[in-house]
Formats: sequence, C-alpha cells, structure tokens
Amino acid sequence: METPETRSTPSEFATIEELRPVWQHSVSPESLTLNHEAIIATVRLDNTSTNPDEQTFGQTFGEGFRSGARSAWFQWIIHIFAQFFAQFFERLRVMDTLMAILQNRTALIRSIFTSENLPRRAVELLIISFVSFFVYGFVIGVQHSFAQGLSAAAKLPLLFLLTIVITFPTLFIFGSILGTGRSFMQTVVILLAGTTIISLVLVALSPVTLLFGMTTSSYQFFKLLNVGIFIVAWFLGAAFFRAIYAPHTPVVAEVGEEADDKDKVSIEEASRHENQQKVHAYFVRFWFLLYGFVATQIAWMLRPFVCSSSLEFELFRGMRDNVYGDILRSIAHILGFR
Amino acid sequence: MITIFFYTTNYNALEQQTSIKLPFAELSPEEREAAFVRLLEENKARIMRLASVYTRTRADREDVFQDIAIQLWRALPSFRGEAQTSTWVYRIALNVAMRSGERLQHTARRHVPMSDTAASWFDAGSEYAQEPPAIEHLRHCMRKLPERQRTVVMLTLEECEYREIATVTGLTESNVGVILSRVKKHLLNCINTLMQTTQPRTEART
Repeated sequence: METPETRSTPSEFATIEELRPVWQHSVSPESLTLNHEAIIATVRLDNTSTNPDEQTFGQTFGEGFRSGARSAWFQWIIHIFAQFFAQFFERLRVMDTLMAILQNRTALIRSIFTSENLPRRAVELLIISFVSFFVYGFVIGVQHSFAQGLSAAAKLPLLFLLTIVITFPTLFIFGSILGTGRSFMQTVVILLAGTTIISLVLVALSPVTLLFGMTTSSYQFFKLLNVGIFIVAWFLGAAFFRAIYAPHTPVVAEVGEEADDKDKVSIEEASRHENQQKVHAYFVRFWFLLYGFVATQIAWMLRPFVCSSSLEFELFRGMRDNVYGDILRSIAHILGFR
Repeated sequence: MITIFFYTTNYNALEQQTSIKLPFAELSPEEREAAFVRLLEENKARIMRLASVYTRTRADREDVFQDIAIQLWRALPSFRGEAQTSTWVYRIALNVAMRSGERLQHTARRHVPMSDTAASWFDAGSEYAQEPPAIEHLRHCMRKLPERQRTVVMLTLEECEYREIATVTGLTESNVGVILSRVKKHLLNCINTLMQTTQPRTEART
C-alpha cells in the first residue's frame, strides 16, 4: 500500500490540483492522535460560555426585571423583553471585539464583509465607544469639578451618537448611489468601527490630558489641547473608515477570459470603475468633513465639556457665538494678542 | 453512544454531518463534551494543516490548534446549523489562526512549560507524516501571499467549492475564481523554483 513516505512527489507542479495530495498528506487524520481526556479537562476549565447553570449578565438583567414586575400582563411583556435581551447579551463578546479592533482588524473587516453577526457587532462597538467616550469625557470634565466630570462623561457619548444619527443617511444614500455595495447594517458597523477608533484614540491620550489638566492653569491652553487631540482622533478614525468603506475593485479580464458585470470586467468597464472610485474617494473625504462639522456644531450645542475654574458648574451654556470664533479667540489669547 | 434527536431540517442536516445534537446548549455537559471531541476528531487534520501555514514550529502549531479548539468550544452554543459545519469551522479557525500567528510572530517564544492539561492534548505517540520537501516549500510560498489570496489557495487545496470559499471569505464566487487564476501562476512559479533548487540536494541525500 502506498504511504505518504513512499509516495513519490513530482519535481514540478503544473496545476494547483497537483498540489492537493501534497497538502492533504502533510497532516492526515491518522497521523494525529488526540488525547480526549486532556481536551475534556481543558474545556471544563473554560465553561464560561457553555454552562447553562451559570448566571450571565443577560440572565441577571432579565431576573431583575422579572422580580420588579407586578401585574400579569406587564410581567408577561417584561418577560418577553427580558428573554430577548438576556439571549442577546449572552452572545455579546465585547472584549473579543475590542481586541479585534486593536490587534486583528483584518478579521474584523472580514467579518463585516461576510455580514457575520452584524447586529451583535454593532452593539459591541457601541458599548466600547460609549465606555471610551464616557472615560475621556470624565477626564476632561473632572478638571473643573466632579459634577462637571459626570456631565461631560454623559454628554460626550451623546455628542457622537447624535453625530452618527445625523450624518448616517447622507453616508448610506450617497454611498449606495455611488456603488459602494455595502448593505445597511454593514454601513452601520463600518461607521461604528470608525467611531470606536476615535474613542479608543481619545482613551489612549487621556493620561496626557489628565497630566496637562492637573499641571496647567490656563483654561485656553487646555481647551486648545483638547481640540488638537480630537482632531488627531478624528483623522485616525477617518483613515480607518476610508480603508474599509472603499468600493469593490473589479479585475480586468485577461485575453481569452470572459468579462462579467461585477468581478471580471473589460478594459473599458475598468476605466469607468476607476472614475467611479475617484468620485467615491472624494465623497468619503467630503462626508468625513461633514461628520467633523456636524460633531463640532453639536459639541457647541452641548458645551461646556471643558470648563474654566473661574466659572460655576452648568449643564448647558446655551447657543451664543460659534465654535470657530471661540477657537480663534483662544489662539489669540495664547499668542498674547488679547 | 450519543442518541440523535431531530429538531429542525437544519439540525438534521448538521447532525448527519457531525453527529452533533442541536440545540447544543440543551445537551447535558457530558453530551456536549462528547460532541465537541467528535467535532475535533472530524476536523483535526484540516485545522492542523491550516495552523501550519501561520506557524513555523510544531509547538506553535499545537498552540494554535488549541486556541482554535477552545474558540470552537466557546462558539458551539451559538451555532445554529445555518452554514455547513466545515464552513463554520474554517471561518473560526482562520480568524484564530491569523490572530495567533501574528501574535507568535511578534512575540519571541519563551520556553515556559505548559500546564499538564495543555501539554497532553496530543498523545506522545502522535507523529506527523514524513513530510516531503514540497510541503515545506508550499507552506513557504503560501506565507508569502497576501492574506486574502492565501486563504483562497488554502481552501482550494482543502477541496472546498467556490461557494464555500466565498462564504468563508466574504468574496463573491466569481471573485474567488479571479483571485485563484491570478495567484496560481505565482504560487506554481514559487514552488517549482524552490523544488528545482533543493532537488539535487535531496537526491544526493537519498
């Protein structure tokens, strides 16, 4: 009988099919003996996700709701919602998504392209960005007072949520017209991934903000420092977003190959796609500028985030003047023109 | 022996493929463990082959195998049988192998003794088949490919159909074909060149 050891390997391969036996026999099922007891012992140590007896966050959440319910119909509605949320939260893998966005973006991008668990992924990204914005908001606000810290921590996630809600229709509708080919949920997740990058950059820079907040007494300087940090975070988020949101690139069919509408196209079609991609690239730049402008305007509406120590705590300051004038005045103040 | 219960059409199809009863979360702990071991037995060779592209030593390969297996164990309760088992295994295995492979590349391997449980996953008698030089050349050439092309080649060598490759990678079927036709030439050139350079030495040794 022929064995992998005795089988002769050709000295040259003409097709991929000829490589198959080489590949298949590199590791065969017979050559690998698993120790079942050891495997079972390992998985027993890792029973967090499969042990139904274990109380998960979702179940605890649901139980809390159930015990608080009084009348039968209300209890029934709460039970349905609790079951839904319990099942949903049980499946959340927030830490996995966090590690994916930090260290394994290729896998994250692939899961977006394959439309794998998109609603779950969207919730996980929302949780990560909300927590990160909350942390950074608290860091910038707490320089004034604890109350200001809590206020800024609550307002910063709100700022980005409102920005996403306002700018999303432009992104999705224009993107669809320009042939990005991304579904509604894919666009949501890509946008949330970009926003999560912004929030994580802010968290990464929060020790710097904290240091300057504690060591400088200049309110104008601290305000401009934060403007600079937000711009850096916005650029990195935009770069990540642009890389994922690029439209599908077709390949030019070679001589003898048949062109189709989508993946293999003729040279004429390819130049049309190239023009379309240029338009798309301009659109993405325009859209991220729009995102920046909208975020700035909402930030102005929700201010103060950073508060001068000479002023009393206030939740909102109302609409007066505009953000650009305020930044120019801060620059003038630091340069000594005022 | 595991008794098979029939729940839905999807579940039936999956049970026929892997003998896993679904919903998995409703099984007793012993049944779950037995089903998981069976799934590993059915897929061990393909997981190990896949891990071999992302790693260079046998120890690393076994580490990645364990990472993949643990991830499969964690993901099993959410597996609804909507995709083929092999597609589901490939998707998880690829994500984990890429992540673990990158981690192993960036961190120098420290010779920390593994725990007794982890060390004994593979029986002492377990030996890989005698590897011809061609397989190491093939792995070397595959490592040089960009990620997407590497995945398509790997799944093609695993005898996956275009549809399955498309599901795993998120590409369209025709795009899989295009990528394969592009990469074929480079891959064959690379491996044939390596075969020619090592052939005289191999012959001299034998």
